[in-house]
Amino acid sequence: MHRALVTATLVACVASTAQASVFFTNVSVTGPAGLIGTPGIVTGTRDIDISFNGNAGLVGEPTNLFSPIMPIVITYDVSSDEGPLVGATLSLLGAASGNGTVSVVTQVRSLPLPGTVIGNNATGYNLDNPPPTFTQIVFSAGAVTFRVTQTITFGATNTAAVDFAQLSLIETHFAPAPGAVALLGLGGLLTFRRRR
Amino acid sequence: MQRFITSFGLASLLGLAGSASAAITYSNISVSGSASSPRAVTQGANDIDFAFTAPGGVVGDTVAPIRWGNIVITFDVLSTSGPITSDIASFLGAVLGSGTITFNEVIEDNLTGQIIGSASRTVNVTNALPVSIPINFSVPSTNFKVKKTFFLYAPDTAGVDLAQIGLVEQRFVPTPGGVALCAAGCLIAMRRRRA
Repeated sequence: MHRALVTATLVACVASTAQASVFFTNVSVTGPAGLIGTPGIVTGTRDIDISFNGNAGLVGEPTNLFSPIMPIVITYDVSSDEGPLVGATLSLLGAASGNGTVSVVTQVRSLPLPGTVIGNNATGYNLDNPPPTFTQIVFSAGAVTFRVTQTITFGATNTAAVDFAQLSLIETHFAPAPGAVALLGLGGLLTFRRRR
Repeated sequence: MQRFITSFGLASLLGLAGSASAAITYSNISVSGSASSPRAVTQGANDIDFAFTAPGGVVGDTVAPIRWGNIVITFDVLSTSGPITSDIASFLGAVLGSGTITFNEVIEDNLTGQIIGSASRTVNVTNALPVSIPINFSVPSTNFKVKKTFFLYAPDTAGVDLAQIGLVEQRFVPTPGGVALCAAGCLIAMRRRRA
């Protein structure tokens, strides 16, 4: 009887995990039209991918679009039905040549606005620190709803070298608080053992 | 004895059946970018191939005035053959003259969000194709996402300038042995029975 109860609890936990998800709404990508093009936006269970195609996400020699240039700004709201999210992993994939640089500043602010800033990060790449770049953002407090703002600044001036900065993909994967399922499973096992 | 032989046979069959159904499956496959079409995607038991045919996968003199472009590939991998510990990222094509290809790859565990592998390579005429990069995972995983990008650039010069990718392949290496584990279990059971 007790074994059945523990099993049912574990099955319920696994089922709820399978359905749990992170939702992305109000996704916005703004900036110079030639720089953002038509961005590709793909969301997964806990991640959001934003990709740039062809001339988009590219500054420097190929397009003759040199810095200074207005940045790309990405904003979206995140909500979680699997408990508080406690951090994120940010990945940048692209290319840099000559004096080309890509800089990304991320700010995470709890909702509703004005909220409080719970995460900050600055990262990027250049020829000496080439992509892919990935970094962890640890939130100062877990949150189930928050707004993410990412400002992408491209730098490339015209020199005799081949100078460009290009961003193909920016991906952000959000991490839940560790182990609700593990904790429940452990609790069930401990109860079972005490019973025996 | 008869009962034992029947049990052993059944266990072996179950092991083989489990092994036969064990596999690597790919989902949420996305291929985008200005140089990504036309293409074909082929899935094997342990690998996935992306093949590009002109004007896809090529920039430079042969498709002028297109002299730059990109390819973005993402997909999820789920293994029922046990944790995967590494993969081999390969791409085949050609570079001529000023042509360059910049390749990035990141592998991310879908459950923890942790980056478990990455690679990058810049290819030009002095560092030519094909490229084959082994990527060892920092943590074995059965459920992860692969993200890879290519930026192709071939500015016009007096020579022949070209950057071209014909095939991108990803081959995964699972940990050895569902069948081996099952056989070991059966052998242990047989030994205990005899004792």
